[in-house]
Amino acid sequence: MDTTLFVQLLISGVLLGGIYALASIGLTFIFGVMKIVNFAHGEFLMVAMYLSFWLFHYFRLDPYISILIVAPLLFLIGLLVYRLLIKPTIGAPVLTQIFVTSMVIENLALLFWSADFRTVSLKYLQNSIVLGPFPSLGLEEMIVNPARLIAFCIALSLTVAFYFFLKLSYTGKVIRATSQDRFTALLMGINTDRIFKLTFAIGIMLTGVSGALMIPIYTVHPFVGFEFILVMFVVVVLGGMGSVVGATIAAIFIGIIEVFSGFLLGPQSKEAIYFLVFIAVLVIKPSGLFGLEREEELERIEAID
Amino acid sequence: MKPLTEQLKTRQAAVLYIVFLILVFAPLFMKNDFYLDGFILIFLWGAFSGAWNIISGYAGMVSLCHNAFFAIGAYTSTLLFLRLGITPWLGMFVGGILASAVGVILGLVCFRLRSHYFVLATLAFGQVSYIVSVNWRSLTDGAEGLALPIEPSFYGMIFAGKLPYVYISLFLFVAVMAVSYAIEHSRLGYYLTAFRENEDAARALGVKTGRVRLVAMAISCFLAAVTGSLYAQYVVYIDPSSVARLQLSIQVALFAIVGGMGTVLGPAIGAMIFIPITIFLRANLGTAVPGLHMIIFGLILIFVLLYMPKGIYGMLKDKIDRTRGISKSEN
Amino acid sequence: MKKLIVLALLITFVCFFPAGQAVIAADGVWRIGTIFPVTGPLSKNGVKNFDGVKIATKMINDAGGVLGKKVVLVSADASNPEAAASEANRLITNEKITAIIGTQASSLSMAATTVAEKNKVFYIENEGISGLITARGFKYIFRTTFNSTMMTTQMVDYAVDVLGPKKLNKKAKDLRLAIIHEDGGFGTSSGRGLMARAKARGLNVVATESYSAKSADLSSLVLKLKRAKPDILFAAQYINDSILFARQAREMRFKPLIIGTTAGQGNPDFIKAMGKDADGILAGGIPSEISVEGLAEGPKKDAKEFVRRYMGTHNGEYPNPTSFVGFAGAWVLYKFILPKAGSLDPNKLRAAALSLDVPRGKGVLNWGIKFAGPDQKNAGQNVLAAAAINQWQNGELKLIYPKAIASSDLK
Repeated sequence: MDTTLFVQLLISGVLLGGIYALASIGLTFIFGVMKIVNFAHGEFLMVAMYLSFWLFHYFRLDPYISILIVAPLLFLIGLLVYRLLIKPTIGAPVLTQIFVTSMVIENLALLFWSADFRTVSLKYLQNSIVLGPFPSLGLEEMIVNPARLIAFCIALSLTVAFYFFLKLSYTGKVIRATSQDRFTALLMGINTDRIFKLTFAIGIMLTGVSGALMIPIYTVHPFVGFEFILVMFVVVVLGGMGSVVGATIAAIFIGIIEVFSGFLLGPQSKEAIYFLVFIAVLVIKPSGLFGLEREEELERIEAID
Repeated sequence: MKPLTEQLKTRQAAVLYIVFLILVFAPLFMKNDFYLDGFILIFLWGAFSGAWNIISGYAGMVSLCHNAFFAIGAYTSTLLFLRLGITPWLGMFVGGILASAVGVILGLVCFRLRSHYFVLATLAFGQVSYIVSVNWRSLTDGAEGLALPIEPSFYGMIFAGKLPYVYISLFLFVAVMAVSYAIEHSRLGYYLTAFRENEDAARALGVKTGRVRLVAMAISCFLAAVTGSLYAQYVVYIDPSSVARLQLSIQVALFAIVGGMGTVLGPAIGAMIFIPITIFLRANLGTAVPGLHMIIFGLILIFVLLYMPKGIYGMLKDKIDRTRGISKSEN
Repeated sequence: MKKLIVLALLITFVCFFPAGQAVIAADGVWRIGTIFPVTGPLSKNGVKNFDGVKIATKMINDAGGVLGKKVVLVSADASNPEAAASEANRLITNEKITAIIGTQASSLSMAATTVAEKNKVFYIENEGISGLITARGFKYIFRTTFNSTMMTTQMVDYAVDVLGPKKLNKKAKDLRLAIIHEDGGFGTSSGRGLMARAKARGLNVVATESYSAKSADLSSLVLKLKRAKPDILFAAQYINDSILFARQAREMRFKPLIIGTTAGQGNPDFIKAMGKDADGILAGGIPSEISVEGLAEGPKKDAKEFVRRYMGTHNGEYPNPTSFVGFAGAWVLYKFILPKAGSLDPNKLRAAALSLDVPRGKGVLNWGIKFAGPDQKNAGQNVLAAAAINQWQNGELKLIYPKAIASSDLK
């Protein structure tokens, strides 16, 4: 394999990772704080993609601008879903109703929007960005997809923003406190219910951002959520549930693995490869690459529930 | 543990007996093939769900890869029959053993993982299995699937009418429940419960939690695979999308959870209630408004999940226990 | 206790909800069953196919029905193979249906046709192309459309006999060919067909790859193919992966001659996503245009009527190929088989179907109607259904082959 090809594969992998990161940040955040696996996360992504699509279709609103509408909308949806479906059974280990909810959301989308695939094609994104050639480095031309690059940059920005938000802001500290020890946080006077509500809504809001960024790249249909949810889980667990930084790094890692194994071993097995890598990492280091929780802490929280 | 005779005297048992008798004898009088088909589906799914319940309900290791074991069963018995002419009556057991082996290996690798991580690892494994069944074309013919002959033959476990299938699947259904009952009231069951409730305490008391769970896994996978074989024999056509897709695992998990996880009757009740609902909803609303029947089904499920966290059977049991003045038993 | 009562009431209510379709007395009408995926991941095409069937039904009823009796559809939804089998059982047992039209997708078809054959019920498969459907020696299953072998043979032959020579000035044996397909039933059987034909003709296949249609990224596939430097790429894809692939191929400057299929590149939505870049791409399979060239009077009228009605109910949109082929299946039953059989008795329908020998141009669209007999390998297959080759030209999908009905030439 020559250098150009190698770097091109690397670029594709990293950018793909950006997409996965974008989709997964909300999921890991929700898990880190509330300890629940939001199986319906992919569906909210689908709804966000649809909303962006309809805004483009009817109002010619550029998806990147529609983030300003879609994200807040999804925040509200997150609040609603929390109140109706999560709060009643919080504390239970497996929230099966979220699972069923994803089925309901899929079929509602089918009912209202039909099964047709929808795409958005933006003229200014048609031309790829060409890097090089760099003869001194032995590199010929390399291609970067602009939409994916934008998604990647925003994913990174979000990650950094989250990191500082959680580390430095008061709300961030409160959230971290609640995620580390729910019971003690309650004793300290923190309104855990409000924190959970906020966390969930922020997590869902992030899918709003992701959806708007992804619609110029992917087609949307009622079942697209299911296509992403599995890799989202892989990324979240690999990065350490609860760690936004971890999820982003894991996402890039998975993106690179997927592209390289697709090229070297064949596209038919690339998904299987990252699933196997996933199982391997879990077995060696269950808390993931950057797991916030060590084994004992996990245990303590469960015992209190 | 009360002696069996005392248990038999309770009203609960009487109801069970009546239901059982209905299940056994009603099909003989039904001329309607559609209802017989319904019975078969209930028994098969009830068996599958019950098998899932053994590792996920009793042992508390929730698995989302049982579709893989179901597929191993279906493909093994079918391939042995199509390629080597071995009767499915035997092939079924081979499939079961193979699935158990795979399950045990998976357990050896993944049992050290805790709840959420274990579920996701099984999810990944299930997906890998699906991808393998699609891509190992030389073995499985991939997505094109395998068709069994439809000419009836006892050797081939293919029957012209539905009645033989009803009884074979009923037998499996009862067998799975019997196995669950046996486990629940055996030392294995106690060990599993101990592990599920408090792993460290169980270990401290000398329970070999690893071994115990592997046994449960082996049993669970074996039964799931046998159900898969039976399913293949009934529909005489299998492909990855019908026997290996993720939704199968989700479905059986739902039946068991909604019916009552970790109980003998839970999965059965889940299957008995929700399969007819699915069929009726689809029959009545299917093409009128796309997606509506799934939405209604989902809403019913959500209702049950929100307001009956112990499942339908769990709730019934609590009700009965309470009226008899017995303190609520832990599930 | 209250919760349990509520649940019980809900369940009872739901189970006895007034049926969406009234069961009309069987005497004065023809009751024909349908099984299509109108919900679930396959519903995009399932709904379109069903639309075609519904238009055919309305058309025949408005013309007075068949032998004076109107056709009433008793329809079922099947989003997965188990549902297909279950619904087939229901239609046959509860609704006493003896003739069914279905199923759009091969995996669903396999499940439903098995049930039909077991119960000796007449079944028309109007779109699923997997060879297996008619390779089991079944007596009651008839496929009105082409199968994957017919389609892939057509594609390979056209590509190496016409496309390659004209556009690249290369002879068949000098052409470098690549095959990609999605890993589902449709893709796999198409891929197999393409390989088989290429091998039979001693052609040079430099790459064969399969992938999951749900992939989020196909750049590795594009780069791998690019390295193999194919002249012509055969692609059996669905619409969303064909768009993803086309976009990523465009990005990576990978520009072989592409010949895809109706499901992917030949789908009207392809142009919406690709714009000018779609021009030049070919798609084999269902004819994109309902050409009336060379058709006899009757079929010509029927074809125009179908287009008119479709555009009427779909906001002026030109018929989707899937609706076409859906219409065709139903039309063969209503116009040719049922009148000859005179009843919905499966054996009479079967005899009528096997006796048909309608030449091309006198059947439906540009197809003839002749089903392979029970002694033949692919019993039940309509051997006079021809796959077509289409090409995107200036934003429109034009029919370029067979010449007799083509509206344009290869550009």
